[in-house]
Amino acid sequence: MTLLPPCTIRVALAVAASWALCLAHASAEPVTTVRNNGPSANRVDLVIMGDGFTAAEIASGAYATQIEVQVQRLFAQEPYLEYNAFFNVHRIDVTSAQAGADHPERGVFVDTALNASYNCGGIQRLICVSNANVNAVLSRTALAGDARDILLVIVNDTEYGGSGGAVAVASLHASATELVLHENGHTFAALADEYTSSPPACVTTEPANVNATRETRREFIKWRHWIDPATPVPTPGSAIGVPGLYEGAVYCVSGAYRPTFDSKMRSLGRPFEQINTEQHIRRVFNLVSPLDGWSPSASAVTVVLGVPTPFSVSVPRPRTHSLAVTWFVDGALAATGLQFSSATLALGVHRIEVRVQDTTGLVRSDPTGLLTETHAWDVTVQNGATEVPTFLTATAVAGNTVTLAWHAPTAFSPTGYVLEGGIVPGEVLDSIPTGSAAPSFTFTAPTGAFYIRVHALNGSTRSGASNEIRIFVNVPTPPSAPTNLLGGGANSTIVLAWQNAPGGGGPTAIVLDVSGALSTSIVLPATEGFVYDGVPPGTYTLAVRAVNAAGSSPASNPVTLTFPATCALPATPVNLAAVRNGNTVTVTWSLPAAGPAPSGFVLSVTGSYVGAFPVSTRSLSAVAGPGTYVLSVAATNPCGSSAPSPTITLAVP
Amino acid sequence: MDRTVRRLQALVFLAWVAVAWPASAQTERPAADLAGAVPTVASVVADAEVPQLHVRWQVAESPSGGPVRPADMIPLNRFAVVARSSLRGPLVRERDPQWSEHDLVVVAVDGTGRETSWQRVRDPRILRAELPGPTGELTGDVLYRPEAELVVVVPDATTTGLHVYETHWTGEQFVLRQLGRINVTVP
Repeated sequence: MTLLPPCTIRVALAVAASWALCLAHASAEPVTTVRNNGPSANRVDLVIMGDGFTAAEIASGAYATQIEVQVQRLFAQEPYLEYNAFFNVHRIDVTSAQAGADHPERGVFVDTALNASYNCGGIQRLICVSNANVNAVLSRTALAGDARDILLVIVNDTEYGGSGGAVAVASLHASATELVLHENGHTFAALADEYTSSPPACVTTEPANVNATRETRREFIKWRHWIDPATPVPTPGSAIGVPGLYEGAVYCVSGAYRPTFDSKMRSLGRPFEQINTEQHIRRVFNLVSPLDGWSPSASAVTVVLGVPTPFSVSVPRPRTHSLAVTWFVDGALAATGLQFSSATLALGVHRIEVRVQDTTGLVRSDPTGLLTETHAWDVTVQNGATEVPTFLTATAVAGNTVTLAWHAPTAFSPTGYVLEGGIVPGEVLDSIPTGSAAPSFTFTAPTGAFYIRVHALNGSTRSGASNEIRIFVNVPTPPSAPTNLLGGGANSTIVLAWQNAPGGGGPTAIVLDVSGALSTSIVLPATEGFVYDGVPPGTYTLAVRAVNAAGSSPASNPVTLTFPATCALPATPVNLAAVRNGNTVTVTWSLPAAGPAPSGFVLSVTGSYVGAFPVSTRSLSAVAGPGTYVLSVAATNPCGSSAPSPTITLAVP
Repeated sequence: MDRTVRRLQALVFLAWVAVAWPASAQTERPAADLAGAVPTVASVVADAEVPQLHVRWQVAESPSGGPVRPADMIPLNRFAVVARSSLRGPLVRERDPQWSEHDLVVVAVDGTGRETSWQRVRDPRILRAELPGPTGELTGDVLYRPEAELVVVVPDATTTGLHVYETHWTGEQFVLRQLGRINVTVP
């Protein structure tokens, strides 16, 4: 006997409000996507959950292994094999208190999450599960509504068994996979049974299914596109895999016909055969468009004449063949493959259409066009005047003569340019055609300061404006900011170099601004380099400005340099001496005559005693035992230690 | 976003009440008529969470408590909401929906009786009991569970009822036979 999960008990007993809360509050079972071939919105999603698997079996990986075995068995058969990339598979780890399934026929009852039981309705091999418990598990998961197309429960029992319906159920028995495939033929592909035994009752009207008919006239047979003209209908014999009109189907021994002699819809262990395979593929394409995605995403696109703008599609890929991708421009075939370039499109408005089609020979009839998908863009091709000139600069200003230069558009060949300008940004006081397709222009300008920009012409079409610059004609103007400041240093020497920009007024001096270890500004001649020896240790940030009588330019780019401090060892102490008074020994020494000041000393002793005594004074007294001692001293500072002094020897009786 | 919030509010604050309502007289309509006049539920709900009802469905009397043959059963078709949950969108969008006797059709109606959407649901009653013989050839039967759980989406807050239909093939067309109605009301 299977115990009801606590939630189910509450549902059975509680009031409506409590029912409503129950499912939401139960903890969700873990879901693992074991085959991820794309977004669920464009894939067939198979959800598998186990019943009768304990926490230990799940934790050990045994459950996952069993599910993987089932998945591999399912996708080993056509058309699942060829179209496996059109499926996702999600495994839900449903934990049961006990392993196995109920066997009421022999008095075996186990506590499982989905209440799987053999001998359902007195049919030994029929396994039933609680569809309410299956629904509860599904409701707790985060699987989206479009990620649960096919439901399968695998029961942890090796005895053959299973069932079909809204949820397919199968045991671990190897042949149970065959039953799952057959049941999916019903629920997923809407196929009829092709066997003849009854019950169920013989179907005496024309079946709705694509694989059964009562029609014997060749031209009206649903699968006539599969029947060779030489094959008689009705079809005698028992040839395997030969489409025809074989008598016996939908629980009728006579009067109803099936398309092949022995398919999986009649016998387990057989292939689906042509007609049922075709129907499976059509139903796969009911959920999966042959077109996964496209770029550009916008349906209306503007491109520049001659500039290659890529158009592309992504498509799912069957195992052994590719989908056909064909591109059309204004209805005419233009290209094949996953990508298309607009480079060859002429000026004007065009319709680019891509058609993706599965041309598999496994499908001969596709009346609703499921195996084909199209997407179209309305593409406006403009001339390149939409591309603007760039990098406008004033290369020279001499008196009232100004020379400008710029970079031309690359998407088209301009037929000319128009210079325009004003005294405030964006203002157009005058427009001057340059009269040339050259990306430069020399002209006589009035005295003053002006903001100017340039447009490219392509016939009568004018591009947008280039970058805007300010020019100073016969009026004082500060220099432009120096550029490309570079700096280097070695020991205490700094080397700087920069370039004085041509724009603006000419510099009369350069100001070097220093910050960091010290802050200062150094006025230099109107040069483009600087060298200085004797930079104090420290880290400095440096920039240069150009100045003239009209003012200062903005600062150049900054550079930051670090000059480490130099380090020198102290010299060796001198005048090392030792005197003894009884057992007390006093050692003294003097500072070295030159060099960096010591910050300490180290007195070293060998002989009857071996050791070193760091001290900050220039004497040391200690009680010494009898023996002979050899002494030396060295000076120290943060850079290290001097050489030791010459040794002296002292005997203590 | 507002729509999502409204749905969540509906989930939190509304209690769904179902009233048993077996079809007293079986009504029948061509399935194609429905598809031509009413949108699918996937086309009317956003890609956010939608409420769904878990409906206990007493299908038929079963003296043994086990599955019954449809031809032999005494139908009950009593529906009662036993729980609700939410379903994360998007819902399945079929490129070429086809009718099947393995599916139910559930039609949502608003307070004016207008049919606002329909959804296909696998028929939870069906139990296919198919067994291979020594050669692999199958024998079998199609049985109904005497009691099943039906899970249906409530497309929006205007829904006041869900009509449950089974799909039947006449030999010429699919027709929808009403089995019952689930009243969805705000107390």
